[in-house]
Amino acid sequence: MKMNVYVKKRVAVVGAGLTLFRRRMLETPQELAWIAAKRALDQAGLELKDIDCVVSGSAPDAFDGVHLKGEYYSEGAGAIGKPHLRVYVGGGTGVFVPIAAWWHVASGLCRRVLVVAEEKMSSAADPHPQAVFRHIWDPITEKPLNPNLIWIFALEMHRYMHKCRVSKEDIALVSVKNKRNALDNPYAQAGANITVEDVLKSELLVYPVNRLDISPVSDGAAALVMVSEEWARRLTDTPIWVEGIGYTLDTSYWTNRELSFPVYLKNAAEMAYKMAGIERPMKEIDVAEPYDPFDYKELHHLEGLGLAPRCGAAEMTREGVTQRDGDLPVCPSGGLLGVGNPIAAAGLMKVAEIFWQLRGEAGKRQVKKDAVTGLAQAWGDLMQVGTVVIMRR
Amino acid sequence: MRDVKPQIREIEMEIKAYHYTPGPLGLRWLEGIKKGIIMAAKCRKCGNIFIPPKIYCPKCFSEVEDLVELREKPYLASYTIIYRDFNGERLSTPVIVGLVRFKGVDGGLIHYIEGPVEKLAIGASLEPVFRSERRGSITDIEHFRLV
Repeated sequence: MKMNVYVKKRVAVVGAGLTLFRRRMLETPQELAWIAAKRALDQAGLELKDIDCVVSGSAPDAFDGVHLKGEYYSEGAGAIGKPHLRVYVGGGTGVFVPIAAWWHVASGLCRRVLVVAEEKMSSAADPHPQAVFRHIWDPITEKPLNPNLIWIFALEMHRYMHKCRVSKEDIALVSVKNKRNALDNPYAQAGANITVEDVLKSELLVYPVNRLDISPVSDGAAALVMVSEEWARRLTDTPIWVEGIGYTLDTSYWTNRELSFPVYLKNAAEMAYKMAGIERPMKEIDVAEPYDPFDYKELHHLEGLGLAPRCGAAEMTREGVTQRDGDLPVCPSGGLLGVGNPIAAAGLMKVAEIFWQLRGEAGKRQVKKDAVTGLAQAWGDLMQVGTVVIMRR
Repeated sequence: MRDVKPQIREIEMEIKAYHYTPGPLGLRWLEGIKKGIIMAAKCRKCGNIFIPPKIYCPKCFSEVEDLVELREKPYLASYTIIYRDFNGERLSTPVIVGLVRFKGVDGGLIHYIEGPVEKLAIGASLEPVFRSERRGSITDIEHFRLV
């Protein structure tokens, strides 16, 4: 295997856990973190005392309504008395948490790491969690216009549709697929049997974005246990190896990007592929969980990851390639569109799903092909960072 | 030259109101306070008794489902005396804030302390004074009285 970094310790995932993804969960952020952490420990066959370090992630403090929320939920994440790091790269956080955990193990610093992501978005109830984003804009050129994130996604989606000649119908197929996949996910919030027509006829929010093009507001948490090779061998016969990580930034300015293609992701994916020794991702990746907060983003990200030809993801979707029984199953979990979108937890849920898929533990969601190599991805910061994790059985 | 003045715009806070949830055990705990009862969580696995209640044990990380009533009087573990309000204005009557603990219970409550000043001392015995109108909040306890 070709590697571009020196890795002292090989890193494996040996357990994963999720909470339900729901709006207005009664549990506190600490309790959500604990539920996921405990389930991941249980699957790994470890207790909290066996954990050397805790790495956690969560998106803006303003969602949970507790400043320094990483410190606040840290007890539920099992971090008291241990080295703890909270990482935050906006929407990309969920996949960045296992990347940061990977550093901890690969460097030799820690051998058994508890990895937790938590988000309780529905606390920010009035007027809407979107208001958290009121101050992310350039204060001189953008803030005076009072932009909303959905405006910007809409501009990107429209540009992508225009450059790649992709129709709303093709994009809606992603929402239909992911919501249907989520019907088989016991943690999912928004599983549904809908049609393309349902998506097109749902409320038009910001042209060309309709309500069913968007993932919901959610509360939830996800967790993994990541360990060094010697511990992986001791704990399980089926460790899932983290073989590649990638994360890179694009410019902070929307105005300076070619919106139809995610350069932020192309670079991150190349970093991860190089580390994992992958030269032909379309042939070598068996199952993928690209970030799908909007349906067009799945297509956009498949192209950025090199898992679809440029402007070719819509055709792949139309032909059924991305269905669970297709050649490249995409978002078999149901994705953010179907499972829900508690930001950081949603990204880590994708990594958990790939872990379960590669172990053959995905139950009714198990993809048809024998999946050996999988990829999870998220997107964030000022919509400029790509985060990628590649795992192998 | 600099004829464009820096703009000062009135900016609203990003969120107008947060809706917090107390958690399943926290909800039962607040219902207890509404009835005039202070309870603590008890871990079946390690026996840890703690406040405020959570669905997990901070000591052994197991699931916690039980609440037990705290019948013994709490004590003052530490206190401070506040002379100015949040805006820096001098208070006509200083306010005493104490760390209220219960024997054998992990954790504690920060609350207002009232009563005869000669009894104000670390280790002093306390009792909760509940409001007559209660809504299931920590402020249903008006203060702890020195006894």
